[in-house]
Amino acid sequence: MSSADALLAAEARMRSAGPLLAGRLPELLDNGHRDRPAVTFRDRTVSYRELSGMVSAAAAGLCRLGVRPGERVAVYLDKRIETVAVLFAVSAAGAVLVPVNPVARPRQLAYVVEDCSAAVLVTTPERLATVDATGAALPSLRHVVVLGDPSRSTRRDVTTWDELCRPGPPRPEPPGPAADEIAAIFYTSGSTGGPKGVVVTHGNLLTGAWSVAGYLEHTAEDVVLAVLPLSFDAGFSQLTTAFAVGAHVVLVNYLLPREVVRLCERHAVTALTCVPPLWWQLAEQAWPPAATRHLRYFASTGGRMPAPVLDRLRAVFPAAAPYLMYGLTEAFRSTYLDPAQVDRRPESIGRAIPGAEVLVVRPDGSPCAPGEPGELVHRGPLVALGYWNDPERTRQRFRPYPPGGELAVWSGDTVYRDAEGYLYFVGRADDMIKTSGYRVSPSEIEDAAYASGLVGEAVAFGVPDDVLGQHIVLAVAGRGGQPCDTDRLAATLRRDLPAYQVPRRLLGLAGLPRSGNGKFDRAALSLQVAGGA
Amino acid sequence: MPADDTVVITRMDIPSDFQDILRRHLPFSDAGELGEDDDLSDLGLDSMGLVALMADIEDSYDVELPDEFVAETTFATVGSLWRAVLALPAEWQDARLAG
Repeated sequence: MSSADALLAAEARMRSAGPLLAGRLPELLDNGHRDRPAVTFRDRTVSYRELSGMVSAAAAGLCRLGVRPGERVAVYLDKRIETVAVLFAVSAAGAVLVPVNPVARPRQLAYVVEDCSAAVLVTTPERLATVDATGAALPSLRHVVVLGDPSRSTRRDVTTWDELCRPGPPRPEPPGPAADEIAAIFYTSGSTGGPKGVVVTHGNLLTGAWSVAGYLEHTAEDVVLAVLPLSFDAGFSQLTTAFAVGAHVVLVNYLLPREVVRLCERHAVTALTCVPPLWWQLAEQAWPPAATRHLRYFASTGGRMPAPVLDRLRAVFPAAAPYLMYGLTEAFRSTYLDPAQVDRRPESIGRAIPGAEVLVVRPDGSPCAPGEPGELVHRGPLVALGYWNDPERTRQRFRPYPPGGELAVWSGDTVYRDAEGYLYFVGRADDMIKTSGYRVSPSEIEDAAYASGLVGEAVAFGVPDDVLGQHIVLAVAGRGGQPCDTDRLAATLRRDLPAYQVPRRLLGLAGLPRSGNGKFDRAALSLQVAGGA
Repeated sequence: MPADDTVVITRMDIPSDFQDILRRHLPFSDAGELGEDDDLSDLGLDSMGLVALMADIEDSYDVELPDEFVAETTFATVGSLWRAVLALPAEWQDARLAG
């Protein structure tokens, strides 16, 4: 199928299916030729037939464990073939998939498991031992499945991967079309409070997969190198947009940029999506022609791509189309810039992706004129159901548009539209820190600092950074007017926070500035630091 | 049995000072002994941890790591990393033993 045909087919599928595609996530695997490679990790490749078999076996195992439809299964794994199998097996068993970032620490894992009351956790022996060592009770868990040696855990409810997948009697097929049913919960930082679980349906995921595979012109000939973590929407879509057309996914747990170059050469990679800080590192590598020859596109998501990096990448990959994309977890992806427009409007975040409707509106809900900044509002079949177990924050972000109409995502991002309909990002209304392609809430860092017992006051904020977008600075004052032991605090934060959330710099102060209403004055602190204090 | 052309490496003890450095950057390592076959990725080494680990090795041993140190094969297991450290220029080894 040619790329234009793929796009037309994707659009036709979305139209014929009405607002939501019928079917369940695992049905994506039916699109691959049975004997073609589906997933490669290190030296092992499985075909679509083998992967489907693994998914069925693991799904049957989850059902044997007593997992009921709609129950949550948390998957806390780095990338490997079994990870892909279990992600789809959870859906095939009718349960709700909750992917957890493999770099999360026990503190974040416990938050997610407790928030969604997960019944099963799938993880590695090393991660389980680290979680066990914290003494976290995790009372909702009935079973833990470990990929590897279970003997290090003292838990009684541990099942190994081999036991999970052992052959058993066939199980009844789960009931049919499930477009409106919950498929997954993706956790993302909130500007206030703890991380929020974005609840997405099978219809959201399938519509998103077909839309993105369509405009990226994916075909069965593509080889997608999955560099991004599978635990967030854009990373997970590396799988869904490839499986939608029967393409081949190569997994890598990103450690060194040089490895990405080598894998592009070894597997003749055609499709590569990264976040800007990764692109920055990759742009600095030596790329032999054999590593770039097959690359059909390079795509960036999760923040603004700096112009010098984009220029360098276009020189490195002269034959590849650059795709600049913008999205929110609450609606998967909103816009992309047509590669043909990159020279004309490199600053633009593009236009709505197929199947989505993106508006720029005033506070009263009326549409903005061209050039007039307003809030980006996203409508249509990609809009998630809301935040798990959090009606208050759901009401803030998921509101009808137009008034009285269907639920839309009010992004909180300020944008404007030019006369030809292209969108431009202006800024955000909240204090969220954007670092390494992640949205990080200041309160997550501050809560970890308070939990250490070493600080009386703490304020985290982002400071502009060429490579990371922003890096995190944490200003602290000790308890009861005492100076804070910042060395001990740094060691505690390194233990309790994933590396991307660890502040680059700790600023020990006698007291933190407050604004008129008594709140900490983040703006003053951030100006003080950005000004070279 | 290894084939004839395989380099046979006898089991090595990983010095405790090196284990202490490693543990600081391996979020899923516990207080137990690290073995040469332990996979750094399974123990949670990620790209940010790798940068911090290299800086820590340089500071702790007062050594500058050369470009060729930064290879996937170096960062595969505890043993592969320790062997790469042992292969650093000799004056550094003397300083470490003296220190």
